[in-house]
Formats: sequence, C-alpha cells, structure tokens
Amino acid sequence: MINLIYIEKEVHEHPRTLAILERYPQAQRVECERYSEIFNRKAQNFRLQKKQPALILARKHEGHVLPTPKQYGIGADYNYYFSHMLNCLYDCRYCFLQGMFQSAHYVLFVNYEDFIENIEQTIAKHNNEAVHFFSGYDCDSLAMDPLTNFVDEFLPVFEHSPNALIELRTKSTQIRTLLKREAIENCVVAFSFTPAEIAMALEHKVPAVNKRLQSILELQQAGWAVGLRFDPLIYTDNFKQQYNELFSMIFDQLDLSLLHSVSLGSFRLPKSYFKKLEKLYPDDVLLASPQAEESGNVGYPEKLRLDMLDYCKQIITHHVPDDKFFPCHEMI
Amino acid sequence: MFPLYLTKDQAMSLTVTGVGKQNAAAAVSYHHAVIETHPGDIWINIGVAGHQSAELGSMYLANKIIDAETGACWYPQFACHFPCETQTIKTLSVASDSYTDMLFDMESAGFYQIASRLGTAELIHCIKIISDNAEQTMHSVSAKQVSELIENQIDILKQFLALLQPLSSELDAVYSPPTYFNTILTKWHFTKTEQHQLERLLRQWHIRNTGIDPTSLINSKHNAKAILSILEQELMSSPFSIGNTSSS
Repeated sequence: MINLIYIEKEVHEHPRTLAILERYPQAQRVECERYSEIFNRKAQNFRLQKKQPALILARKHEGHVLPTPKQYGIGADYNYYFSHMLNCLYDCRYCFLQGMFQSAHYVLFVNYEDFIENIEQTIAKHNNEAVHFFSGYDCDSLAMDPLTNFVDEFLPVFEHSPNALIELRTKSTQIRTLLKREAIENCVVAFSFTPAEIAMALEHKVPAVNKRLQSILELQQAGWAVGLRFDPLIYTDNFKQQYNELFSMIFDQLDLSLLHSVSLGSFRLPKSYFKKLEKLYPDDVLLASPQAEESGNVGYPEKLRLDMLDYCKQIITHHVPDDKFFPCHEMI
Repeated sequence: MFPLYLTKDQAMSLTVTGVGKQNAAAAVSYHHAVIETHPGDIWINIGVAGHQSAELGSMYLANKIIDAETGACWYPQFACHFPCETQTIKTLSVASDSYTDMLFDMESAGFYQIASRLGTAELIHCIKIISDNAEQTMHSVSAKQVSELIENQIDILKQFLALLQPLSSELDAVYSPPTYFNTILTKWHFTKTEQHQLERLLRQWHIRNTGIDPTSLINSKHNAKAILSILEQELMSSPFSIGNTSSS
C-alpha cells in the first residue's frame, strides 16, 4: 500500500506519472525538485522507513544503461544493467540495497522511453553480437510489476532484438503479466533462492520458497526460459543439509531442458555497506555469522566460502551442464 | 534562556520557543543541551499556522517544510499512518496575511533544520493547528485563542505520540550497547577501538548464546586484549545456525 507519493516537478505531467497517481487516489502527494532531496538525505533511517516506504516518481537523466561488473554474467561477452527502479518491496537482511541507499523509499524513474532508447542504441552498437541486459540489480524486476508495468513496457524491445537477452531477476510470484504474453526465447526469468529455513529467517516479506518454485513451474509450462540464482549462499551449521534439500526440491521438479542458467555466489558486502547493516540491525542473526574481511569486502572466511561453493557446485553440475552453470568466484 | 517543562517521569519535555525561526532553532539547541537528548528521541514542533481556506482549529502534519528566506526544504518522513492530514509548510521570516494553499508559519524551518542534526526524520515532525485564514486573518488571533486551539487537539496529539513511541523505542534498542558491555567497561580499560570490538563480539555472543552470561569466561582475564581474544575463540567454536534451529 502506497500512502505517500513524492513527485519530481519535471515528471508531474508525464503520462506514466498520471497513470500511477490514478492508481493511488488516496495517497498524499508531495512535490519535489529532485528525488535526491528526499532519497539521499542523511538524517533518515532505512529500518524505520522500511515499515511504510513512500513512492518517489522521478526522471533518470543519465546512466540509463551501464556495464555490469566483469565477474557477473551468464554467457555473453557484453553485459549491461539498467535500473528503472531503486529499492525493493522485500526486506532481505543480506541485501546490499540497505547498505547502498540512505532511504527505503521506492524510486521509480518514469521516463522508460529514455531507458528503451538507450537499450536499443546499446543493442545496435553490438550489431549481431550477443548482449545481455540485467534489470534486477537495484530492485526486484517483477515484484512491483502491477505498479510499474515493467514487463509490458520493456519486453517488446527484446521481441525484435534476437541477439539481445534480458534477465528479469526476482523472488516474486508476480508472473501474471508474463503468463498473458507469448514467451520469447531471449528473456530469462531468474529466481533467487536460499533454503526455506534461511529464507524464513532472513528474507522478510518474500514469497515462500515453494511458492516461488510453483511460479517457475508455471512459467516453464508457458514456455518461458528460467534461471536459478543461488546467490548469496548463506552459511549455517547444517548448511549442507539445508542446501541439499533445496537443490533436491528444485531439480526434482524443474524441466531441466528449459533451464537457461544457474549462478552461484557466496554472501559478501562491501565493508561500508556491512557496517551500515550492523548499525541498522545490530542483533540480526546474519551478523553473528563467521566473518572475514578482504579487499574492502566482508564475507565468509576463505576456506568456509570455498567449501560452500564447491559443495554446491558438485550438486548443481550433477544436474546442469557446465555451459549453463555460472559460478561467481570473486573474492568474498 | 527558554522556558522548559518536564513531566514527572521525565519521559516528555517541552520548550517554549517563542516566535520566529531563529528562536525555534535556538530553542532546539537549548533543549538538546539541557535534556541531553538521544538520537532515537521524538521531536515535535507544535504551533499554529495560517492557510487560505483551511478550517480554523483543524490540524495538519508537515510533509514538506520550505524556508521562504533561503529556499531550503526538509521532508519529514512517515514510518506509520498518522491520524491527520499532511500539508506543505512555508516558514516566513515576517508574518503575512497573503494566504495561499500552503500552510504559513514562522518556526518550522528553524526547528527542523536543527532537530534533523540531532535525530532522524521519521521521528521529527511539525504539527500545525490552523489559527487564521483568508476569512479570519492573523490580526484577530489572541494568545488565549492559540492556547485553546492547541488544547482542543491534545487527544490527537496523544494518539500521534503513541504511534511514534514504538519507533523511538526500536531505535533506542538499536543504539543501546549490548548487555554486559557497560559492566565490563567499569572493570577493565578498553581503548575506543577495543570498545568497538567488544561491542561487536558481545552482540554476536548474545545472538549465538542467548541468555548465557559471558562474564564467567572473562573474570580471570587481566586486560582488554585477553578478554577480546577469549570471546573470539569461544565464538569461533560455538555452533551457529540460522532458521528454526537457530540459537538466536
């Protein structure tokens, strides 16, 4: 439920703004010059705001499409991400967004036309080479689709660009819009998972693991390519048992021939984000995990991290061919 | 310097700022210095405001505060649903009867500018009761009327505070040092860096070993280094689980 909407003056009359305002007639409206006036202020508390985030409607002026860090990718040489939205409906304790942003409000950049133009230019620049776009870095791609209309607005771009692929990264079960559309080969709906017990403890407001799996099965039946993202891997004493159960549950039910990719990475955060997490949630169980600091990041000690990655890799590669498996072995 | 009142239990305090943003800003600083406020405290500026058409006696919460003199803006944040409407407030340096569809007052910007350095935007709010509008201008408002207007809204003010109180308590708990931290500091000397390490280790201790007193482990230790070392060793060898079987 959105009770308060901040609106940048510049997008006050944008058709997408008007459509969203019509959807929330009861919400209080506050005009602002730039979203950063609210979003970047220091004297605010992410934890408290997460209880009732506001929506900020804004215009993205530059940096619509950006290259991904080198270690991220699912098979293409050219990888880009774009963020039509900042922040997420969910509240995962390991998420970097709570370390990166001062505010928990949802920022929606309503000038999709500029994103789309930049995506098309990027695709054209690479001619017929494979180029991948990731939409779920700074938000969940699907969780707020009824509000953002993201799928219906952005997928047509890829329907006409077979050399480009879009990944929709999500933990959501908001798949209605996808199911209403004809599946396209160059769209991967990638679901993130941790074992059910860990998810219950750390992934607040997120649909249960079995509900997510159900969504995957429905998407596969409708012909959509799906991906699995076991990133971050989370350590717990019975880690092997928990992940074994998770993998069994997923791989036993999925049609593996329709699986696009599986990626893997262990929990890590830049040190400054981790410190902010400690300040926001000092008594959270995640913070009592074994920890090590290296190269400006905080994560698990190397031996533990490699053990976890190797254990998971063995099981995953038993089910999935190597060319569909993308471990992320960056330092922590 | 400013009249300051405290409830018997000292849970609530009130400073009378007087008129104008400079007074309001100075009063906030004074209040902070005298009361020794905490970052998780609730700050409310209660006062009257003018508006073109709003009904006299009606109450509004500021969603945006504009300093008319400098153009600076602040946005109080709402972490729960409040029992009154919100509005933009423009703080004027000089009283005016040129009413618009914004609230006019003379204190909010001064109050908010300083209070936001001492607390967090979710717990700092300006509540304004309409004392004048285009039909009944400010020239007809007396001090007695202002008192009555505010008194009439005391129940809603109480409701408002009751909604903010749990948020403040939540922050207090976050900012509080872990159990045994202060006790340990009274017995051994820790440098600032060591204090941070102790705080982190004690928090992890409590998460992993709920209800278990760590002091028996450290009583025989002679200095901070030895205490930090034994806590770290114990933590590394203690079980850690997340989920239903978690020890937290």
